[in-house]
Amino acid sequence: MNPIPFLYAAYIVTWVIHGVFLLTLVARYRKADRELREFQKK
Amino acid sequence: MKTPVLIAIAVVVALLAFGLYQGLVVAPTEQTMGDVQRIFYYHVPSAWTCFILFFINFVASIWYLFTRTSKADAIAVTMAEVGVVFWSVVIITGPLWARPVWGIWWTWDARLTSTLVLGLIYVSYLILRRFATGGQTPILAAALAVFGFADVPFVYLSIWYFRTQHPQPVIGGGGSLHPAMWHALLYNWLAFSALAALLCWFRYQLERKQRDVEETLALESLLEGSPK
Repeated sequence: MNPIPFLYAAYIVTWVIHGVFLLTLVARYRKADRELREFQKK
Repeated sequence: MKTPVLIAIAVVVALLAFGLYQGLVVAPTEQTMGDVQRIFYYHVPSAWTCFILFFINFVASIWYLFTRTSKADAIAVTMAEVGVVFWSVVIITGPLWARPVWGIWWTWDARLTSTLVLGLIYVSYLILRRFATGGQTPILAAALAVFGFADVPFVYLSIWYFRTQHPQPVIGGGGSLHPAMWHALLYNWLAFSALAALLCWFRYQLERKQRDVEETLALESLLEGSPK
């Protein structure tokens, strides 16, 4: 069995997990910020 | 975005790039396992970082149970969520290492099972925070976090007290690690700790913003309900 794909998969998965989490944080922050501005406009 | 935040992001990216270089290029190839052992430079620092985050969650939960301050609760939920992210890395990179080395993806031994249970406890903590309604939710979540943390020492000590397939611990396990491997491990731990700090800062800002929204919403509904 060639182990190299497992090594790359582990490193790539790590970055994908952190990247997706960071993107969800940004999206959730923007949503909360937009909601707060809408409330303040009222 | 403010300049200190941009500097922090640049420092974290540089540390991670250096850690990657250390893990893939500088660290020598392990004689028995070959290059797949390099997964260790991401798996172990992620596990250590995860334990630290859950420990801070534990401390913040106790702080909240005694003081009921919103800040303690916000810190606790921040640490739990970022901790679960690092736990996800641990629980996925472990089997990716195990498959070529052991020939199996998973085995129900004490270390692996207790690690899985640990993550499920904190996932249930986050589900409780997300879906439970009522003023008692932060208190229940804090109590769950305090008892949930009891699994962390069990995970750590499981390879000492049980016969497991998992390798012995890096620190105090009796084995020896090449100095270059130590350097790669510690650089990556530093890099992942810096990344965790940055993610926690972002998550904490989000928590504060969400609490502002909830307070504004509550105030608005109070004003709408008040007699004119």
